[in-house]
Amino acid sequence: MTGNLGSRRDISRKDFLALGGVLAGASLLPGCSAFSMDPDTADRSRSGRKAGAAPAKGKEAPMLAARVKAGSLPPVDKRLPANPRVIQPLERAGVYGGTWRTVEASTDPSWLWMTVCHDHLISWDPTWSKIIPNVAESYEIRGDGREYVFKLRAGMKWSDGQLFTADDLLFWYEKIYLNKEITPVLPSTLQINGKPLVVEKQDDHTVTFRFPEPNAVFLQNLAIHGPPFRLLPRHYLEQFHKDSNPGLGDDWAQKFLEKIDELNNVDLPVITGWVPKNPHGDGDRQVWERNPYYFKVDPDGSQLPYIDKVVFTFFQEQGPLILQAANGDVDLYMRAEVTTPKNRPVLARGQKNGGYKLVKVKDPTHNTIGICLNLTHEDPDKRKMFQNKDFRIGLSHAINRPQIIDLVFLGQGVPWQTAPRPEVPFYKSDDMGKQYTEYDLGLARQHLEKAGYARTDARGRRLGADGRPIVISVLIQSRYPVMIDAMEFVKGTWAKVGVELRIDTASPELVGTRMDANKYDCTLDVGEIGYVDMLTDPRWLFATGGSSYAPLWSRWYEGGAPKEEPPEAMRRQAAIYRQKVVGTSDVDTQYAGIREIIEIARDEFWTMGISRPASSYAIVSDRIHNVPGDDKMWLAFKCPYPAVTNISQYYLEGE
Amino acid sequence: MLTFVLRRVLYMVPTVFLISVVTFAIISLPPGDYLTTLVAQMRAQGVQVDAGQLATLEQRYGLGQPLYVQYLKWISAIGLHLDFGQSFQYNRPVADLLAQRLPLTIVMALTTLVFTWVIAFPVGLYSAVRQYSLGDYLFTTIGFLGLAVPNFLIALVLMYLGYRFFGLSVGGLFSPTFADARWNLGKVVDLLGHLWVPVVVLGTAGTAGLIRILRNNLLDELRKPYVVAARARGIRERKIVVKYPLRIAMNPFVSTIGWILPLLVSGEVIVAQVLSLPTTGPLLLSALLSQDMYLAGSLILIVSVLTVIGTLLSDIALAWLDPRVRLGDR
Repeated sequence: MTGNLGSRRDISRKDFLALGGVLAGASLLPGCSAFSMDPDTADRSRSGRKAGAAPAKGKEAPMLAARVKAGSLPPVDKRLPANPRVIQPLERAGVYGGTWRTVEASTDPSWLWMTVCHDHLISWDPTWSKIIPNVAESYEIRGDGREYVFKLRAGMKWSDGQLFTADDLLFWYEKIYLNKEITPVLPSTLQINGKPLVVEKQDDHTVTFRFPEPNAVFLQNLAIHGPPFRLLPRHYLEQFHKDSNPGLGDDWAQKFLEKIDELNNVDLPVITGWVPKNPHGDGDRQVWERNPYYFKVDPDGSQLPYIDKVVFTFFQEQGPLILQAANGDVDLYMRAEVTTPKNRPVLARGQKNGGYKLVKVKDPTHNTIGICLNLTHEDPDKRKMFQNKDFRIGLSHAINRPQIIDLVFLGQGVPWQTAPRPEVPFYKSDDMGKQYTEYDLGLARQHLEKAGYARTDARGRRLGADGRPIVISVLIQSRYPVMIDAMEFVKGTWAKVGVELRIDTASPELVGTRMDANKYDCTLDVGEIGYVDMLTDPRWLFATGGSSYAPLWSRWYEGGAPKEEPPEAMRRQAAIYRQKVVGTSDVDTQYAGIREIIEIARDEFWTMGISRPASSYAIVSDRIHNVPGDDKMWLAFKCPYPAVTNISQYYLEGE
Repeated sequence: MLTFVLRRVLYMVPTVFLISVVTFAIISLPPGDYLTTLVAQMRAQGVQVDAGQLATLEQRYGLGQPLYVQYLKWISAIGLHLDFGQSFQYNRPVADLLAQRLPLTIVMALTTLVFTWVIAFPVGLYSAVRQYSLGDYLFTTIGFLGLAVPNFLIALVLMYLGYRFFGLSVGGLFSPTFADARWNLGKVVDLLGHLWVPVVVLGTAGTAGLIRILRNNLLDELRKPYVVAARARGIRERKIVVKYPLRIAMNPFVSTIGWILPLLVSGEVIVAQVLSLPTTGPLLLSALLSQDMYLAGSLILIVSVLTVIGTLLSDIALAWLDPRVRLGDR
């Protein structure tokens, strides 16, 4: 090759061939990767073990051991706290390595919160029956839930190797919770009647949370999906806070909030088992890699997690997501939107080829459709009608539930009112769930007549107080097509007793806006929160935040305007809730209190339901192990599964 | 010509301003805002939303301010610092989101364009010159099928076939192993292996349209007296067709150049959505759905500005191609 490479015009065929040869040769040289056909991930971690390599087990993952050897990471004994949390593997001790492949529907981060993001001071145990220490080594409840003392682990570290101490919690309290620019209004779970909580540091590893009055559901509120506060690193965040860095501009608060966004700020030190390697906002994929300073070990003293990486692939549409799962490209996934009865046939068929199975997961949802008449309707006639219990009983008897279950829910489920699920430990009877569920038009007419709506017009339409036929329009969120199908059946049977139902479909935002404005007759809601989560969120038992049947009463309880005092029965429910459920940390008293509230709700019959859903399922690949089997997990937000089953002890083997 | 271009550029200023106002108004028209969407979402996830949280969020996003203040804040930041604001939904600067998705969007759009032209041009030419031949019927029938079948349906079918018979990892533009790898030959090959699906899907409809347009225009021209005269003088058939009729028949190709630029950004939203492509289309859709004001506004603004610029470019090209356009300017 002479010097004619520089001038492009007179390159000959011979030169061209020579150049091609040189380039092809270059691509074979190690270190020159531009022409390599392999994925170039040199600066990122290897995506799991090479096939055939011996399963690794030791004190730490091989990828970290290599970094210790190279001197870029302290030895594992220096990284673990003095008293690490010991996790008992579900079936057997695992091996290190591998990539947990999972998916995410669009940009909804819930699945991240329910897996890699969930590590708080305390946690639910894997059976969702009691609160256990987690980041905190131990905790103590004093004064009926007035005071909470958390003992932190000595020597525990953030993912950047800095110590995690009481000062970090104090930083959250003083600089975030009490800062009006960052927290203009205190979260309702972290205050009592507008009075803030007090956080005090006893020593480097002991912190006290003190409420002005008992707040016995505080720990339950910390254990949910998206807790009211997270554990944040003082040493990193101080530089972005105005108090410690006065040079910051006026919009510092906005910048600060961006800095504590752990999904997007990959520089934010965390304490969870995996740390994000790219921002969530990238929108098509997020990779999480093991945290070398994670505070948990297995009984052999091997640092957890076993799995090196967790990769979330984002899908905007369900179709490709389900195909990917059926193809066997998903190791573990369970989200209600995807794992619905509708998708079950496709996913069940792919099991053998895809190398995965469908594991039964319990559903805490007590009702497929909760029918919420607006009990605080702005029109006095309608309000009187909806508040009449006999009117509601009449409507309930005029719903053919078995027909709806067969045709809309593919035969899955049983007729049920908006009542606690039979599994709840605090209400053993099924009388609330079963009352008024039989389809009996005669009984329905009797009740409607008893309610004072006996007159009908020539066409058999029942007349209201104003002498005009009764019309109820139901506001349905367009994202629930199944509800629209079901209401078509209800429309038919209600017409038989002379009540006209109009179906009004709108976007969720519009439904929300109209509900806030108290401008609706009736709306529908999924009856989520039907298991022990009812204790912290009793929205279906009496009107509180999130309930859909009495906006004015709900605001009376929550605060806000306009509001209205609810009837005596509901005021009694609220009082019992404050005294016996929030007001004491004794579980028996709490259960007795919630049972009383349930009994009042049963007698008052505020809302009605259609059916209790059948169990859901999770997609679990054959190569992921230590995942709980059938009916061991719940599809819950108040208790984020699978995180509470200790995902750090899951491991991959047999690819 | 220069005055023509100058005047067109001047027209663009008020147009773009009006577009920005209309864009912002449209995004703010539906009831509620990002917050109501967020609350609806949170409620659906079983999260209790209390009044305090709402106030905090409202303050954080500055949604309580009057619309014109929000508009001025937005447009002045763009005008002065090219700062497109913050996306609520992604909690990241809009500019970052665009920078990340634009390159692949442009690659996809350009490939589709080349695919469309490479197919449509010869086929259109052939079916005009050989009107009613077997080939004409064959090509135009295939073209019609491509036009008639909805794009998203083709996408779904291709995806299903890929899954069922080839074990292809569906969705996206890369295999999982290459998704976070740096660029190298393997990654390019991997991209090409995935890119053909959206390109074929997006290309089919466009191809059919262009074939028809080229064929009809060319047929019109071929019957004109000057062609007959040229043929009578014994000029070679190939030269007759290419020299004038084809040039005039190309008019629709050139005048649609203006639409190509916005297509580079907005892409084919539905197809990209169905195939879960990491392009700007799905970004725009989700921004509109969740009323992520700054993101949606910026995307629509960029698309609109590109349409305006593209129209200018195609006008200039038309003026060059067809002197009659220029003459109107005198």
